[in-house]
Amino acid sequence: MEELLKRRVDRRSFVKVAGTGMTLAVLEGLLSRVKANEIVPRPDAAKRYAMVIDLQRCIGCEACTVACKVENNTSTDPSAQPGRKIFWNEVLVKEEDKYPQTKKDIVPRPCFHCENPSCVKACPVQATYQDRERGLVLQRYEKCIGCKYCAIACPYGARSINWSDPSWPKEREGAFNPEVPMRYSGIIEKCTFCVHRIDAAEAKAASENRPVRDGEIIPACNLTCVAKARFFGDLNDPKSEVAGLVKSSRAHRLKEQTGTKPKVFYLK
Amino acid sequence: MEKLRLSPGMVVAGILMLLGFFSGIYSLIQGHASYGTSNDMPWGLLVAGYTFLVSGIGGCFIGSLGSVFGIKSYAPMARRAFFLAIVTVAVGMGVIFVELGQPFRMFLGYVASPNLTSPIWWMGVNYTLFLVLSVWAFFALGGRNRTVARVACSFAFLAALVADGSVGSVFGMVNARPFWYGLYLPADFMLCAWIIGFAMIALTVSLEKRLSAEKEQLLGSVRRVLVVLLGINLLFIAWKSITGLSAGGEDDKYLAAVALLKGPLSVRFWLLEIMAGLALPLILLRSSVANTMKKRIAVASPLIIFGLLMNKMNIVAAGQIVPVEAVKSDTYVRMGGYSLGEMGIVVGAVAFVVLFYRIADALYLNVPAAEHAQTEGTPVKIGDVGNTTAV
Repeated sequence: MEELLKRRVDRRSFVKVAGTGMTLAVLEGLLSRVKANEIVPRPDAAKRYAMVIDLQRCIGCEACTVACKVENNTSTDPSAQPGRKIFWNEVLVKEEDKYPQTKKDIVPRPCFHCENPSCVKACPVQATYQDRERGLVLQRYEKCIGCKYCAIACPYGARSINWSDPSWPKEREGAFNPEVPMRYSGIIEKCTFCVHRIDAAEAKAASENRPVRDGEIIPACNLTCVAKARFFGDLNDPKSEVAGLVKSSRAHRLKEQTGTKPKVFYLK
Repeated sequence: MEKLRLSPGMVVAGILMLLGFFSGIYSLIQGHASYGTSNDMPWGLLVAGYTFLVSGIGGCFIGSLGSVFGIKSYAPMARRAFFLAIVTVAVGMGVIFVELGQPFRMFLGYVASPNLTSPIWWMGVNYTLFLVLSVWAFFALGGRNRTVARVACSFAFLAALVADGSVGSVFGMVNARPFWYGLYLPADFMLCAWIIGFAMIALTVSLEKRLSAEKEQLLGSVRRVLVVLLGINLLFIAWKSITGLSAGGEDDKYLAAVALLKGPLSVRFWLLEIMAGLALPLILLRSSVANTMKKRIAVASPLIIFGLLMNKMNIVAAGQIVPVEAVKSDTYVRMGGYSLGEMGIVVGAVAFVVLFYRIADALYLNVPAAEHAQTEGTPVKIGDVGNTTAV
């Protein structure tokens, strides 16, 4: 130790060490900036499906909610208690102040298909899993034990619990979507970004020996949106519409401090 | 062997146990629709009851004091403490079983598709391991080989530490719930387990008709330890509240602390957790007057245990009462109240522990020294496991 203290540091070696340190610091800063910018293509994932919702365009009509319920056969039990209704896509509305200064915040909320999903880490039996090839967070209903830990771990309240077997008005019977599996009491469910539509589009593209075109996959909520406020596509495709939109200064994500890296972006 | 007499208390406990059993069966058939929970507050009384019951793992901590740490005054209670830990943890696991939406899938799921990043998976594994090791320790304590008993108790103690930490981590690792997230809950769960362990021992000893000099000394020692632990618990709660309030503004941690201190949870927090479960026992235990000590401990220890049940209920509710939503809500989650089924299960589970302990105590745990060389009342050399002589 004493030897070290006694060792003289000449100017050349000082400049060398200081220079290397500064270069490393600058590089680290640059690298961390790149990390923070989530729109660069990730080599480990073939696709990174994402959704962009333009809050300036959204009129809060809730057509997306209805379309989602019809498309995904979610229960519409009118007798369900408040807080027990099932919504894969809910339009959240918050009113502030009183007339004439009333302000309304309208935020449609699907599952955020996070890149670092807390629900996937939480599930003890891998019933919730991440489809890394496509960046989707999906659910294996047959494995779910109904511990509800994923619902506890989700920072966005995007998960619904089947408190009882699903039920629908009589008129709905016989008009279910056969491509979406039915659920039952005791398991958790949530938005899949209409994974059956993604599967169909990818299968069609594969049969025609071409990549999936931007805009070819349209989830039910996007299809029905009267204000064209919703966009869906692959963030790994730099030419896709969503990849362009997320670069906008209006683009933001919710609760970024939780580190979940959600793939639903909102345009302010 | 003491003759088991049917007392009114045992009849009441039996009725409550049956009530809990049928509530559990009803819940398994009906599904978790019968509980007072919702998508906004997915965990209710059964999760709180589970965390409370598995804190009975503290019995293992107390049971290990004699054989693992050489604190001989606790050795006479080792088997009882282990027995209580095993029963409470097993019953707690039964409670969480009926809380699951699809409970029968759990066995295959845990083995066939384990998720090693899930605190719940580790919790299930750790508690199972604890049960196996503590049953071994329990029987080893009743055997003649003291080395085996010491080794078994050491393993059970380590397993208990890990298991208790893992149930705390189930809450402490949820980033989405700021009131739970962090180091506090695993530490708090550990403290609660120690308190429940000492309170259970204090209760069982104080209810004995006549106490030997060693047990009176033990009771005095437990009283002092409980005063210290309750004081630490009070500090924990105070700091949790202060740090929550200091977050301020719209912070979820702040809103949860406010819900607890002066919001929807305040009545049961102040009245049942703080007053009945902490302040009153502290007043009762503070005095060291010898002739009333037994009675005061007999009153204080069930109050402490009750207060910790309230503590778990408050922690579970406070962590969920602030909505996790995309749009910041200005209201708390509406609490639907606990259903009769949930209450029946938790009360029945506690009644089961009481009844099972009472029967086991009369028929097995309290057997004379000749039948179990290392149980209560067995005079062995200092340094031996199961020594009843207070040091």
